[in-house]
Amino acid sequence: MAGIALEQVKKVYPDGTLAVSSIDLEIDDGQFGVLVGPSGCGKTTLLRMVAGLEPITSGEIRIGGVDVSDVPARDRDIAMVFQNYALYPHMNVFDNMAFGLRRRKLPKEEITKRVDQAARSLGLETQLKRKPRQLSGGQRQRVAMGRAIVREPQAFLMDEPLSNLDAKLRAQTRAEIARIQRELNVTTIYVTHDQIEAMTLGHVVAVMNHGNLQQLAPPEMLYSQPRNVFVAGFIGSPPMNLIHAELTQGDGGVTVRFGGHELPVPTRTLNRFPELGALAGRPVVLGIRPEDMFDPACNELSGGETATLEAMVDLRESLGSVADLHFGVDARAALPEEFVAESEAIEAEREDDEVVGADARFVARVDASSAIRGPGERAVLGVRLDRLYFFDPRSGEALCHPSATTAPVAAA
Amino acid sequence: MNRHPVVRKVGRILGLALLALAVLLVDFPVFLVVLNAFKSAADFANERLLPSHLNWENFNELSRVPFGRYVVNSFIVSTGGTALALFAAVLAGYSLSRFKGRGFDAYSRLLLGVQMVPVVVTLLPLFVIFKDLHLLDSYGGMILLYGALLTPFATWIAKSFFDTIPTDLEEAAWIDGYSRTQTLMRVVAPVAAPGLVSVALLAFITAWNEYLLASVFLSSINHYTVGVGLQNFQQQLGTTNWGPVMAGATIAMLPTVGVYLLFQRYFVRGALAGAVKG
Amino acid sequence: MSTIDATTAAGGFRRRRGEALRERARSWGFLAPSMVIIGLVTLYPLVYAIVLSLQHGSFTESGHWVGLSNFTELASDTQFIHALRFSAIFTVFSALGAYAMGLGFALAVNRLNRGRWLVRLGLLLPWVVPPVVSIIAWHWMLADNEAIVNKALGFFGVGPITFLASPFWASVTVIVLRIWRSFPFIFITLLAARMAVPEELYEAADLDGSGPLTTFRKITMPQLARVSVVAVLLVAIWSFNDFETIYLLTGGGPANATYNVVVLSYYQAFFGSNLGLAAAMAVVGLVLLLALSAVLLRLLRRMDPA
Repeated sequence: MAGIALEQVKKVYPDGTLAVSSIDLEIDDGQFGVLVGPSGCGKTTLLRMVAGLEPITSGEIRIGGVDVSDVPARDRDIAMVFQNYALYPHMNVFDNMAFGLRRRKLPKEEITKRVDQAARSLGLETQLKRKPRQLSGGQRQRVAMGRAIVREPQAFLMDEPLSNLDAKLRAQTRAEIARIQRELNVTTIYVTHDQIEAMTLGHVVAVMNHGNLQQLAPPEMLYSQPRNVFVAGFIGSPPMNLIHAELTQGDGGVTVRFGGHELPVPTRTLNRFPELGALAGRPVVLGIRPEDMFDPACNELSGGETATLEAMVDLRESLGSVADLHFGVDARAALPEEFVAESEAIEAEREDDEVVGADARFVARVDASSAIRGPGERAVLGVRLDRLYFFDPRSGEALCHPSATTAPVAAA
Repeated sequence: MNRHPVVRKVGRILGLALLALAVLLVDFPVFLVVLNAFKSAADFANERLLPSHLNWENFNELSRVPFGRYVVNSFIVSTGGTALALFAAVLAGYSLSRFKGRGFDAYSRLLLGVQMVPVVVTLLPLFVIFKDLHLLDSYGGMILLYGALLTPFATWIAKSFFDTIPTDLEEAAWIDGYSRTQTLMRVVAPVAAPGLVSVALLAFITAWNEYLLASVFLSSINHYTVGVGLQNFQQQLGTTNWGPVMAGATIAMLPTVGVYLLFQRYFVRGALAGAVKG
Repeated sequence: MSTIDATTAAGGFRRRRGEALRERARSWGFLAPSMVIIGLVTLYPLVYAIVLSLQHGSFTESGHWVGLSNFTELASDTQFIHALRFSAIFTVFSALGAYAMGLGFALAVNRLNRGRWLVRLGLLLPWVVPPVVSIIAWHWMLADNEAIVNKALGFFGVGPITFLASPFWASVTVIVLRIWRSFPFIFITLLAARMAVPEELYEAADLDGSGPLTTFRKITMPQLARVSVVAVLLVAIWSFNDFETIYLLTGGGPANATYNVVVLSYYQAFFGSNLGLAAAMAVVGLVLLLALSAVLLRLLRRMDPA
């Protein structure tokens, strides 16, 4: 049982590529930490450094307070679940799970006890004599987990363990993993590119991009208080609508204008974040979550400020209880890649021609009872003004975050 | 395919027949050797294709020379050379597969280049060197020679087999607490075993079939390998008495053909591992 | 928890580098056995051979330096030039012939639904059988006017051919024999490569109305191109370096017609007076082979980005 701490951990490859740049991270004892981000963001590299499979260029990694930066993987007392499971093909399930224990010279009865217990917990009792190639994908995944569990390590490290499972199995196994971690109370670091896994499993989530830590926070905070455009656009499905807009000072107050639309900025927001008001007359990045928009014909809101905008809906995706309405907005979409990152390597990657986004496309999530059908339908959509996000147009940093998290009340 | 089904069927049968015929023609010389081994002198004189009866006389004639010794000698040097090459190849193949770096790339290319060198280039100096070291006409010398001959290509094939073993298998073993060498022995080698068997088989057959080195470096009759011995035997008997020579040839090819027939799958896999990757 | 001060951090870095160096040393250690064997038995003699080629000597007495005179002697040696020419002809025809035969069989066997393994078994035999044995077989088949091949030719009304006594026919025979021994390797390589081509490519071509010849040119050949070059390169190398086929069947004759560089070098070494000359021949052969490989490897590299 131990917490894991990373201090200024950095990884540069021999050819000069910066994989991970000076990350500080702390996961407390017993916590479930998730590293999430798009491919290539460095999350797997970071995990492998914690495991000892990848050398650290500089910085320090501590497990249970002990500096393990120079300790080889086999002496770190950790267990890992690999993306492709990495089961030993020439051994049966029992031996796969017992292999690590045999190394530590545990008595035979203890080994058998642990393996049997884990097998029962994972539903593998009948598979113990089989070889990996005789098992299904889901079973193999469970053997990989069993192998980690029996080690009773200081920490679990998991590298996208669900990515090779089909959707239904993934959801089931996700719940299993959460249950097991809760029961065993072992510190866990879990890597995934799927933000849903991050949000549902993690006590604390680290969002990464291009080798940098974007934000480290519990899932709810990532959702309601994203630190920058990247996190805002990464967490939440469908993703937040992000657009370049302009704050204008009118006699009625401050409004935000984009693509022919104009939305008033609530005074309460301006009072909470005076810096916002100071930006009047200047460009800004506006963020609106699809679920913070609604069909005024179905939902009436009480106790919140709203405004409407007209949109030409060109696609409606029905999802059963909700429907996603797609429409275009005549303004430039704000893409996370536009914003200068702190790491040096990113400078080289910016390709300005890609960055000039053309017309933005918005998604609004409305109640399924909405009469809006699209395509080609002119509709009036409601926007919750107390849930607008604003970001600095140069750095992408959040300028404010919404206060309330309550959902709109449906019409009776 | 828009041809009439009957035409297609006939075409298929014709094609199959042609293919079968082609295969028989290709293997004809080999069949002949075996057939000729059982012919009597009369059969030869009468120019019969098939022997009239199963005639073992030719095999008896083989006892004029220590043919059994030849076979044993071949076994000794082929197995020894294979073992030596396998040992070096497994270590080198693993190393080249797992470790990256300019030195390793260069060594890889060196291994390829070395296989191009005509045996005769190194043959001459080696003869001089072996003469001085008194390694001529010895088992040890031959095993060393064959080991060196087989190592580059055995390494190349072993490397491509190791390439197919994912590194996370080793990483899982390291996390389970094993060192790299222990992992090599307890995880990598067992998983690579079929591939290594292919390497060994290919090496063995190559060594068994080798002629030039054996003919130059072995001078006493009791040390001859089966290829050299057979050739020698043929020159003794000349072109009039083919029977015993054919009998000897049949025996000479039994091990390699036998190994090939029994382990065909491994053999093919090994042959491909080297070439298709290029 | 402990505070990290600069010195411990630096010490950690140094310790880390030590571990990395040890791992590097271990990896080279794994290469040691093969390096020792190859170094002693192939590389050192190779250098020695070059030294020998610059000397005039024999096996019994050490030679004296003569510089490049061995090579200049070769330049005007008609027998050597003929052997060089024949090496080239032999290599080219064997490689192309083996390729044609291997390709043909590969495509034919690929269409088989059952019994593939049996045919494969049969077709690999020429490669597996010891050269001494196969040459004895062919020798018997071609030995004289009464031999079996001539008998078969007789059925077609073709006169008996003195395969081994006529310089021309001996050359042809030796090449055919080499093709016979080499094609299985190309066959199996191309068969595997052909089997690895995704069936969808052919289905798409079929839907587009592509006939068999077009499909072959546009789909099969491009997919097999890379493997073909590698396989042909290997067969060319083996053909150039071939000793057994020529030595055991014709011994370089008749009338020196079938000498290649390798066999000639052998005879010069063991039956001639100047070991250095033999070494020089071998070195020339090696240089030519390196040139050939370089050309083909460049071709290969140019094919890769495609």
